[in-house]
Amino acid sequence: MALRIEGLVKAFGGLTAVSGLNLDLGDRDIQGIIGPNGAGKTTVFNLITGIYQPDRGRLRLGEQELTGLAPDAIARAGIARTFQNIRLFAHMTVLDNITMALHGRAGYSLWEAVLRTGNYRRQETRLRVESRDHLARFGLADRQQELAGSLPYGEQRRLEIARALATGPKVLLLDEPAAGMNPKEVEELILLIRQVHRDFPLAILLIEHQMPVVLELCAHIQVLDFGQTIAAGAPQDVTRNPLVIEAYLGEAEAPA
Amino acid sequence: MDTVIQQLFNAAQLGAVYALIALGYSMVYGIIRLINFAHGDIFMLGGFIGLLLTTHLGWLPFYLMMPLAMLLTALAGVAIERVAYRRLRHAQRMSVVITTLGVGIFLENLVRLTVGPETRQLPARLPTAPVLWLQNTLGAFVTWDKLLIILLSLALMAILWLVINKTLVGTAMRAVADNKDVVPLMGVNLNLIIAATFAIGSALAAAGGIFYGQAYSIDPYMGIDLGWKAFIAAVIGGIGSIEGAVLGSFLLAGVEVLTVAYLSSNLKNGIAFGLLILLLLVWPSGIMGKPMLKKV
Repeated sequence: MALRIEGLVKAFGGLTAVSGLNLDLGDRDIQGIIGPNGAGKTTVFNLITGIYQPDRGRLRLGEQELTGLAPDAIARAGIARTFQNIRLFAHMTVLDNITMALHGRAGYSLWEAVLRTGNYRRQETRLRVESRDHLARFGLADRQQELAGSLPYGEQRRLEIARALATGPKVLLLDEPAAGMNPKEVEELILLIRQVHRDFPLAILLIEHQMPVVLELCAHIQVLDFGQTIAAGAPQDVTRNPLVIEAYLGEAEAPA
Repeated sequence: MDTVIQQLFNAAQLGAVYALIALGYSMVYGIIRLINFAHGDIFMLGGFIGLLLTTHLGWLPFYLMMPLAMLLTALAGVAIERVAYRRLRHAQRMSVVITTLGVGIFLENLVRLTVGPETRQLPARLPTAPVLWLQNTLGAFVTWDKLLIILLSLALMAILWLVINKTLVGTAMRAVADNKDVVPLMGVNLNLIIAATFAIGSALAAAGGIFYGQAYSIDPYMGIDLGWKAFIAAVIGGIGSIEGAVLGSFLLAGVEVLTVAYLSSNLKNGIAFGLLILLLLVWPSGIMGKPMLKKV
């Protein structure tokens, strides 16, 4: 089991954003979390990555307890994410964005860095080389000296995924990766996520509004509404569930 | 003509000291939006650590004494961040401002009580002979210590530029300035990077304090006046910008030195602060005030 979530609860004031969430993500799974706006999906990601601390419940990655760890420790343990509204280091180069992600894995201390010891310098050189190789895998090699914020939207999304992967995750969390994309870009994104799943030894947990993406990629989905799981299972079954149709699909648009 | 050149060297020396202080203001503001009003007193502390090392460990050559003083001051800067500022990172801005002012007053009084309130001369450790070459070619009387202070300061600034733009820690510092919240998700310890920024800023300020003590004199309150001036220089240049801090420092020192030389020493501060107001009317965010720590 890659990621195991047990009885996760998070309330903000009187509002319970996540109420008793359970989730088992296998080592090579691709699972989806869907639900209407405000259902608590992004809160789940913020809890998994340590941005919020849960009121109750446990998070484990393999054998390692993640509950209560700081975000940087959780990232080093092997959880990476992307954001619905892309969050790159926009004023830095594409290469620097990747180098930052590899940075967390580099072993050196503050004083090694300030005094520029041999160990620190070896790490630095190694990371620069790794960054270039990594970018090449995502077709961004030509862009490495450009500012991340100046890339077209689709490439920013790709860079954000590449950066997440550069941290060497066991679990990749994708928060609405298809948001703001046209159908052609969505198709490319599905291919990219498949390729990532094939080439990297990891599990993927996906939040998505666009049903085609979920149906295409996920073997198992979970539907949240007001912080509670109202259905879980294979996408084809879940989308026929009357509860789901009422809570989510009925209100805005029918599933594809 | 020769006096103009001499005045320019005076301005360069003062500007170098301003810049070594202004860089710390600008870096810390750039990464965590904190204006560390105790930074001028870190500069003073650096000067006094230099004085103590010179008097108690007189056998230490200058090229060892100075890095040691910078290292000790860096530790002090890191300790201050850890003890006084870290827990206020999400506090109201006013609480933080008051705290930085309080730390400054603490440092001034700490030095006053332990070392004494007198104005002191840092024993001259740099050669004070005139640079003959400059005298023969330009007819300007410039001493070696002045030239060395300018050159060493420029070298430190060049090293800082390399650290920020070409190293991992520098990359991380720019990343914190760019999007602080995402940095931990890269597995990077944000506190470590902020500590490194305080360490580097304090070490540069210590170099400034020692140079200032070599060129002029030191006292426990020197950080107030010099700190404000350097802060103004950082604001003129565009606070958060490394290049702006250097540019603003030399500009301000140039205006001050030339005012004293050719107008009146009474007008020095009036003109310096007037310049600040005028420049900010034209460039509200400073000459190079764009996103902070931006790579050029």
